[in-house]
Amino acid sequence: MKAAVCYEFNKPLAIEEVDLDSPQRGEVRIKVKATAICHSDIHCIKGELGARLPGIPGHETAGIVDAVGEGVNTVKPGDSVLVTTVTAGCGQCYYCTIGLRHLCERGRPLPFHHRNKQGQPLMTMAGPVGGFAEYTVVAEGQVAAIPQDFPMDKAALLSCGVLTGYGAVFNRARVQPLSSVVVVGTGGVGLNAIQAASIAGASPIIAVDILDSKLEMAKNFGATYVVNSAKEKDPIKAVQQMTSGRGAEYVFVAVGSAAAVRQGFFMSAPRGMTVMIGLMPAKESLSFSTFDIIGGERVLTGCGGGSARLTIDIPRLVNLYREGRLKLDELITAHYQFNDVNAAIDSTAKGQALRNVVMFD
Amino acid sequence: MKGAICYENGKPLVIEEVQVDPIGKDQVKIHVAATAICHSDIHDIKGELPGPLPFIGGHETAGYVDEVGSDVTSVKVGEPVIVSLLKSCGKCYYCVTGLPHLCENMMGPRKSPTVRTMKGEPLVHRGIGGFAEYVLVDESQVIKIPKEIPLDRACLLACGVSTGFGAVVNRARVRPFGSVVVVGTGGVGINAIQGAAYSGAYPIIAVDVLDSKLDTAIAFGATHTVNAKREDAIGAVRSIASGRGADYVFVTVGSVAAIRQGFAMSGTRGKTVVIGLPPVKDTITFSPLELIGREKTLTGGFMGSVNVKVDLPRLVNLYQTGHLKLDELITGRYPFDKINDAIASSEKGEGIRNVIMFQ
Repeated sequence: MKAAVCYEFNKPLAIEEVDLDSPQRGEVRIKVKATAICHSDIHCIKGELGARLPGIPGHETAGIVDAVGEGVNTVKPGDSVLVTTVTAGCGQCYYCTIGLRHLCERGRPLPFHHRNKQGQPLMTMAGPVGGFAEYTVVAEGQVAAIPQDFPMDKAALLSCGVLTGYGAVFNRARVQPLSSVVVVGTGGVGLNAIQAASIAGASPIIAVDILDSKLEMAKNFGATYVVNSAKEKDPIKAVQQMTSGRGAEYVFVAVGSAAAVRQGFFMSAPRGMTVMIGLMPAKESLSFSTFDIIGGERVLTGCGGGSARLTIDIPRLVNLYREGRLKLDELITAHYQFNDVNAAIDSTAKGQALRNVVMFD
Repeated sequence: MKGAICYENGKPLVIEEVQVDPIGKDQVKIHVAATAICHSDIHDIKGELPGPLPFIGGHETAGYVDEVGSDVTSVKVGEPVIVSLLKSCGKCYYCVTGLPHLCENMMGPRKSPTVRTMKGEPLVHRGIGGFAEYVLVDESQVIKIPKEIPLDRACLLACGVSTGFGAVVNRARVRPFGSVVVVGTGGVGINAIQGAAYSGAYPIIAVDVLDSKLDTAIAFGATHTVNAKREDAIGAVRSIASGRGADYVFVTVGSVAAIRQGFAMSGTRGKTVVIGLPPVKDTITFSPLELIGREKTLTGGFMGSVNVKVDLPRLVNLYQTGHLKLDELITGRYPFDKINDAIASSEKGEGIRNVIMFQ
């Protein structure tokens, strides 16, 4: 079987024959059908997120269960599944018990399952998936069953970008109908926060980005106003004017930069909540004056993996898509064959694509 | 009437004859009975918070209504009242949604100064000017209380008690069995502790650097104490809070180091509420990874997020029914002409609250 391996940051991935461990207790082997390229893959390949090399990126993955280890009972060979970086949880620790499965304290997946022909371990990059490979092994908790007829390329999108944007809105912030929402950054995650805010009945929904082409797309996904923060002299003031002078009740920052978080925070109203969803380079730090935090009682928090309960949220997303209320087709810019994975990565890195999907077989 | 004026930062106040402006139609004039000294008064006097000189400080005040403007309906002459710093318009978005402490017009310019020197120089620029025999405030700042409650106790509810208790009950909405840390057990922190105890929190961990204050914290409901001078405070809190860190952390110490320490004491999904004000120009810096991966929350609590007309009568009721300690908060009582002694004692950190008694 083949995998696309990153041996050196910023270099093309090497597609080569690799070996894969058999699934152990609690693990599942997946025949990968589709893996979409997420921006955190690019950050890892560029060496911006502290990944260990050599490694296999790719984490927005869907496929077919090929084999299961001992004790696995939620899926069986032949099932269609998507694979996430989140976990369904052990079901026993404190966070699982109180309903926050994504914060499960146990069962960290192993750091690698693949080895190259020299026997060197190939670490998973940008999440414990290893999706740029024909087969991979993951923990049972990372896998969510989907209907057999659900298209694999769309399923792959659900597993990270869609789940993260949707979950930040519904699970973390719990956006109320008619409340005001700002989404800073309208890439693969931000657009999904916008469509989730729209499904939640938010109004206004203000998209903030630096590219007009992305802002046009944001409108298609439900944004009611757009602000080009590169052109607008004072983007914070522009948002305030659209929100009765106060700022927004919810701000989602889907850009991995401290400057964007600061800008987003100041777009929130007193008592407003800013949710950070974009992973930023590990060395960046955030600075605020304490007055900014006390005076208006603004809230700053983060959301990991859409705060998802996989067994609840994935079926909901599947249904929303089938009902025509969740756009997935429109998120896909292009399909690539596995052999062309580097071309797909280049196109995403240049910001030319919302989501490029690598198809296997 | 007399007021205690700060003419120069760091110098004793000067008690002298001052004049009150004529009452406006929506204003209430109060004959002050008691004003407690809060640490922000001391910051003001020392010049650590920006503001013009000269001024009259004092904002934890209770007294009797002396005169009401023509439009005032909620209080009558002779009634005992608490006077709050929080002015609200009753019309803006936050007032309408039940958050008058965030009133959009609170900070608006005063229509006119309320108290002046005999030469006509304005003396109350913000706050209420409670270090004087009379204060003149907006009707929204006046809360009627029962005749039975002693005014030296009632005045404490105006700021210190409501800020600490309210941060727990109104802002964080601590749930029974939630784990709570309070960093700093001064006048505000001690009331956060009693708010947490009243809410059924467990454990309630008091963090300070003085053993004497930690002993007081236990008397107010802390179940555990950590002396941050002697031990690894973050590690100690984590081990008390099931190894995870706390569900709620209240930082009542005005320092960036304390905020960072408090944030690190919060567990996954934990909420840190900043109450103490560090110097204006200080900034807090932290890694975004803790916020995203651990989904921690950082926010502020302003004046206990109190809705004064609703919450202060509730606190009075808690005191009357024995559920809120106020007597124990008072360290000393001073006549008005000894106000500088009272301030010097508070500044040394000798007690929780010193109260100035008028008449």
